[in-house]
Amino acid sequence: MHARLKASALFYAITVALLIGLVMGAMVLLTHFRNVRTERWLTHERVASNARSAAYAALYRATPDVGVVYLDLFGNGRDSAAVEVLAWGAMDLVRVRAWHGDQEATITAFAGRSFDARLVLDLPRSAGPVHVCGDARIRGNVRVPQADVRRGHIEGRPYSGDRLVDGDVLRSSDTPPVLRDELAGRLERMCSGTLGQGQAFEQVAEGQGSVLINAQSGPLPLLSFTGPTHLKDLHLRGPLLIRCNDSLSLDAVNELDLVMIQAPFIAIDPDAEFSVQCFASKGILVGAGARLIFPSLLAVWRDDRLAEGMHITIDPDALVQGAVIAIDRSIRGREQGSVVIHPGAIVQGELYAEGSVQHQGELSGTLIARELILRTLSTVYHGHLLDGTLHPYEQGSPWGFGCTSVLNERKILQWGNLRHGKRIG
Amino acid sequence: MGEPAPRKTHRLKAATLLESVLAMSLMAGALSFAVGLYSRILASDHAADRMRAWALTEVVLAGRLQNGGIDVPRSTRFEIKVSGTPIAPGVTELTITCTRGGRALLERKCIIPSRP
Repeated sequence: MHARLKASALFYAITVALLIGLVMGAMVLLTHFRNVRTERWLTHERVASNARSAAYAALYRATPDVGVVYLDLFGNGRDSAAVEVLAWGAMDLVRVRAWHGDQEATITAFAGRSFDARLVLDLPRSAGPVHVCGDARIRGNVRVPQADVRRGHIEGRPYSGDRLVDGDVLRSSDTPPVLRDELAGRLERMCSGTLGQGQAFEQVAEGQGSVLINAQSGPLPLLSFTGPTHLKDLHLRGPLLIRCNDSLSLDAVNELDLVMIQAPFIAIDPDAEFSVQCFASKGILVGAGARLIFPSLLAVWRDDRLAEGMHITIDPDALVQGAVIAIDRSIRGREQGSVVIHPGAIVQGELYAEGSVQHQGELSGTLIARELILRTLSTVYHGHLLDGTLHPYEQGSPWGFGCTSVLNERKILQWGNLRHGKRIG
Repeated sequence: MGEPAPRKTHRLKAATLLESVLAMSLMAGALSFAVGLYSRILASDHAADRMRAWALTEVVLAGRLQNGGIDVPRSTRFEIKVSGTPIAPGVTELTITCTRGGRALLERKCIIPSRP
């Protein structure tokens, strides 16, 4: 038999008071911890937001390749960021470290320029009249020599449409658009196989090709190859540079995102899907059905010492989102065409060619070229557009690489990795 | 036969008046402490509100970045004010203030492009 506790009113009161105290104390502690967690979460979000803010601010306050710049974002001394802007092909790579309290966030961003979307075709005075043949269609404003667009008939293919140009036809400008000086310098350097000025690169082992490479600070990662190379089974997210001193072909099984490729000749296998900037001196071939998603760039700068011409060839059903730039300042081999867009191929963005363009695909954006040509088995027709379509950029604002005007707005084109961590230093 | 033994009821023994008063005072003190704590600390806990306020600022920011306008989300509980100051050509410093019942919950500052 249990001896029961004798209880009194005071004993009950003390017990209940203690219980109330315990419950309330627990609630106070829970509230405190919830507040602490909320504040940490808000700081976590705030540093990420500050990192993005610093990236935007860097577009206007920092110039490429001058080292790390420290910003007091809002002038209160509490929200600080370190920003570094590096030339990254035709884009700028913005690397940001922002901190607040004991937390920090690092982010990478790729910046470029919007392009001028007022024209779909811009040819210099020397190009001669434009003959529109077959199923070619021009929708948008054009600037052509003498504002002269004619109905053409070529290889048994008369023009099948009603209106030659569905837009305004303007005379060619006295000063045709030219490549921005700063972009021209970068392209010439990259296409000739040299690295960016003042940039530090660090060779990474090929075995690291299947892991995410951290390039948010320090030297930029570089994968280098010698001799004719076929790359397979690479799963890489940039910023990363792949270099080769000979022909380089990229298998469709690779996964490449925000990667830069430098080789004399680059071949992208059919059905590949990458986001890459390619720089070559002899040529680039994009296989049928390949998809180069934004921000992608194909750039070729012809080496004047070489006798043969260079080409960018985009095979049927391939897609290029970004820009295509071909610079051929040699007087040799012009008949071959600097850029060849086959039927069914699509270019979305800006095509700039200091050379001739054979366009039989679909271009959504702006085409700036020395002249249009059509090369058949028998001859080369100058000033002819057969089956190619040109229409304005219709995927929202015209982002891209803004090849010609320095006035084009700088923008963050693509965000890279965002990482959080404990503040160091 | 003697007198029967008093029956055991296991009831509490009656407390003294002093004990009862002390017990009631203690209970009253504990309860008033609980009520005070609740009204002062727990009821003023705005952690959840601050997180919701941050989510609302994200909505404002996303709208600003996408279409350039300032779409303040309609909320019956929160009041949101947005102001923008150009700090350089092409960039604006945006200040988003979120209040509830006259109490400032959150002020967020960020730098964004002036045009989407």
